[in-house]
Amino acid sequence: MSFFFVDPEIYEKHKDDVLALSQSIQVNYPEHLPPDQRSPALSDRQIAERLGLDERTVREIRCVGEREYYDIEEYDRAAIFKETQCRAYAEKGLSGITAKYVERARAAKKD
Amino acid sequence: MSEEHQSGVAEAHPPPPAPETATEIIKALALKAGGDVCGIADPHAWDDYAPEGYRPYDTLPGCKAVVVVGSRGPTAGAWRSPDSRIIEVNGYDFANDRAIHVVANHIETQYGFYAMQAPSLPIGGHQPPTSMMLAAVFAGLGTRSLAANIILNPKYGLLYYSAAFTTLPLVHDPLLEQNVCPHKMCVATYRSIGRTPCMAACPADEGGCLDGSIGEDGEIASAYYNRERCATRAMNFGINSFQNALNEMIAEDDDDTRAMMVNSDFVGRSIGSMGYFKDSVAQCFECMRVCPVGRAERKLK
Repeated sequence: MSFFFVDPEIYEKHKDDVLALSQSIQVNYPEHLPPDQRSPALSDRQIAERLGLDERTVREIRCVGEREYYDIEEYDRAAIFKETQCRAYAEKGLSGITAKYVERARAAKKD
Repeated sequence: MSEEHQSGVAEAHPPPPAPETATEIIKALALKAGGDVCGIADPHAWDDYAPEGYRPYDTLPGCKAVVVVGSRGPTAGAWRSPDSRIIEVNGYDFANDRAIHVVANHIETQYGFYAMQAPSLPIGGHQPPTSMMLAAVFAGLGTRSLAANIILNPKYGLLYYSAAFTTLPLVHDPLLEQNVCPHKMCVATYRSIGRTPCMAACPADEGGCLDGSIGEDGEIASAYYNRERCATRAMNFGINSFQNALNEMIAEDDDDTRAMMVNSDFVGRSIGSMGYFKDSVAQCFECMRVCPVGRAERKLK
């Protein structure tokens, strides 16, 4: 082995748990929220203790998991998303972004 | 280690000014060196918000203060460009990093106390050793927003932050008394269409990053942020995209097709971002583009 990496089976077994405990999806981080409502992420060391793994393995699983969370097509779509949003705002201002939600809200009121 | 070094006072330096005076000098210096705002945080403010290993005194033993500098990224002109590619390359000029180095050097050379830039770049995946978001909040420079948890300054909105840990005693600033987010205009928009402008720009339920709710009191009641989706946009081209593209390129059997992939605009931008260190900052501004906080500062002739 030329450098450290995790066995694919270990990765597959633990990646969902590791990512769920990490900062990948951040829910209720604002500092003003009551402590029982905030849900900050754990460090690699804390995740390792929780899952019974060693810290280096957790870090490796997290790093690979972050890279694989979205495939390459998502990066390609991202460039198109930004181009579309940026042009819409330049042409119509905020209404270029919110118009469809305004229409939905109006339709919902009619219903 | 000598007693002088343990206490942080080097023999070659005269006694430092009183904490109040030193704080004033350092804040003025930070602003002169390129910062738009400067505040001082208590290193122990991290205790209830960051795990062991991620607090200032874990990195600099004996840390007594955290100097935090915020600087504007894109200029008002760059914000107005209709081409999203422009703001990707005009978005950031490291002004806050330069200012914090001036501050750290000043503390060490003039006062003889330890100082170092707080390590804010990731050292394992997306994880930085020190959160600049917490630093900005604890220095009283802003509060967390519904837009990707970005810390909004009440005057400027989005700022880029750097910090310095130091053993020099300084006067800590209080946290802001009022939350900057949500802006009253965003509360009205939320009441009307069920989402704030930032959530409309990048909605989690339609392939974006953001969701959340505002309570009856007009404050953030819940917040959701998909950082990994955000990474595909804000770090669109860089290490992430290159590693993902590399997997595809080395698996491609056809030489001509592989050459097209290797020499593509996508891979070129990915390598360019790594070469220019651009993937460490930001390449997506869509949630901030629609944020009303700080917009007045971006209105020019």
